[in-house]
Amino acid sequence: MKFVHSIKFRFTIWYLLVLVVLLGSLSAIVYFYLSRSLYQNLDSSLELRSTQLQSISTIVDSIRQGEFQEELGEIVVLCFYSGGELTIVSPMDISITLDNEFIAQAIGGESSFITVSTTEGEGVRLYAVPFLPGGPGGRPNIEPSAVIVGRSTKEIEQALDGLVRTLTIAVPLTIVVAAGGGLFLARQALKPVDQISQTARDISERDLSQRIEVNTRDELGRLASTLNQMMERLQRAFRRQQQFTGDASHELRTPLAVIQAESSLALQKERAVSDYQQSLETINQEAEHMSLIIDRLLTLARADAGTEQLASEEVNLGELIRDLSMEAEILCREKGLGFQLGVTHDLAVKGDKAMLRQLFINLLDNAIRYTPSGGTVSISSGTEGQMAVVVITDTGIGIPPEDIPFIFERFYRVDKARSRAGGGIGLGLAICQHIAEAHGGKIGVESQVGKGSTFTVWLPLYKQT
Amino acid sequence: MRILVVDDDRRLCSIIRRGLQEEAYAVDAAYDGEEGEYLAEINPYDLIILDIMMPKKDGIQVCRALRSKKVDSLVLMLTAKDAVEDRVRGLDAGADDYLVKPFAFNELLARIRALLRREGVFKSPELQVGDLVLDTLTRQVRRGQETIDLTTKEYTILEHFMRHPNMVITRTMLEEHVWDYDFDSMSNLVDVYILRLRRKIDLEGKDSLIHTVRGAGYRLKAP
Repeated sequence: MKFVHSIKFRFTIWYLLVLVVLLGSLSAIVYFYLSRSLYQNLDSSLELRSTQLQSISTIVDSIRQGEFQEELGEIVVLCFYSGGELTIVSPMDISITLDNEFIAQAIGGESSFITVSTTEGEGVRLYAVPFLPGGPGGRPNIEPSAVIVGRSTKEIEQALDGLVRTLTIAVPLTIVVAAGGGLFLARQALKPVDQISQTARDISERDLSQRIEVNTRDELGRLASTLNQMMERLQRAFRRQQQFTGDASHELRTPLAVIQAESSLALQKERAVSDYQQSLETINQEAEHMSLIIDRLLTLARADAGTEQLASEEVNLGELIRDLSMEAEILCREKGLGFQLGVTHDLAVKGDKAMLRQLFINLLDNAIRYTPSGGTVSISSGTEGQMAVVVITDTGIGIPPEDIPFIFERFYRVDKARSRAGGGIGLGLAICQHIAEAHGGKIGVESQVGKGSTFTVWLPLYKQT
Repeated sequence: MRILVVDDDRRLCSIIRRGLQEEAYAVDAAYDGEEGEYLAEINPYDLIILDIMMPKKDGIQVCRALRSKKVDSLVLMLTAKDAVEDRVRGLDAGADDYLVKPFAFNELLARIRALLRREGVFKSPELQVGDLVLDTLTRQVRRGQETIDLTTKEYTILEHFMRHPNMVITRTMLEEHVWDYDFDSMSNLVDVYILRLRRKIDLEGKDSLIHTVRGAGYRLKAP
């Protein structure tokens, strides 16, 4: 069954079908033309012979003696009406029946051909012409008569039979050989397909590193390299997913480890109330940290699933930034940082106010976290074409150039120790990028190690219609 | 028994330290790989609890470095990385055991006990020299039928003696294995503790177990 459903099989069947039709018609055409030309030749030789016979004066005797038959294997018959009776002069052992109408026609002056069978079943081609005496030494006062020349078609039939025999052997043989060849070619051409499907079957989700061997640059080679490219993308996505899952579980395990260690240690034996209070405080802090991580993971998961509900309201960006800067100023003062609120125009953008707020809080939070005391954090807004632009600059530790392409990735941290000690999770910037993109905007960063970083957010301006 | 805890999570570090001190271990802490490696090189820790994901140098690197420097302290990897490959990598780097975070404190303690047992003469949680029995699980000490009450420090010292019966233990060895990094070795505290321990163990009518080896230290020996 598997073979019947293969392309190889169908390919071969179609190929054979076409071949059968072609060979069949070719044989028919050859047979038809050969037989036609053979019969034409026979007819013209009969015509020629009939004109020769006109000049033979002793024709009646010759007929009677069977001379023609002996010498040439031909039948010559002379017919005429004598006293109202049809007289047929023929060799004695003529074994054909002559049609009267055919004879009458010839006597009447019209020559024609006919094919008849002898009593032995042999085909004979007959030609009847008016017999016009008048050759040298012609015979006078003769009745209107006709001469019939006939020759056996045996040779033609033999030739045609031979042709048919040859064809009935050669055509099927050709088809069988062609079937074998076609199958071989199809198999040869489709062999890479089997290899591709074999390799594809071997690729499991545990090992996506296998690739199909690409040997040719034909259609199948291109198919294989397309599949390889797809596999590459799958592998990359899979790896990213694994990395994300690993990172997420690590991030969640760290506070969980503290909670479990603290609680199981506290339960080891009876303790003073103040010890329990301290343990619970530690547990509480870690639980808060965990719920922050889970919140952010959920935000990203909803974003990935596309089930996020984005409000679509008009947001005054200038107002939002002035609002946030008050909080930021307090945080900066606590850490001994200067805070600068630059020019802020009232810019209308359309979107989710709470999410935009989250975006700028995350950026300000990062700026404050990574700037040592004595530094400055500033925020300003403006326009750039059809975009509203918000710029947040700090004079902090900066980001090494090799890390810049990755900082918007989930759980990516430039210095794992520092950011964890500072309370970071590694999801803030990923969320910022998601929010900016969800609003049709984008986010970018410029940074110099030791000098500080500048984060820029572009959001499309909202024009009321 | 002296233990080093290396973990960049200070909070977890302090919990482990507190819990281990309660169990009469002398504990030092380090917050990154480099510091941990340095401490492990200069102090003969009985056991090192090592996190993997740490700044400066990760736990795997630290463990390899220590093993190549012939530091043969027991190493227990304590990490959030739980994939089989991670465990294999950790153990192959020279760790003796692997515990995944989050963990229950009593499991950590049990694993520590098991690891320490592996090194010593005794394979059961009970150590015995003569008729002196020390139960590392309940931390009870008996001589014959009589239970002996010991302070944490006294217990730790006795445990060290009992893990190395018949061996000469120098003052320095005791200092290194029983006290943590903050101990001031100029004092004669060791001698004071040995004196107290002797009074409690060598009961009247019984043979003396702790012997002074002149010019070297002490030796715990069955009569």
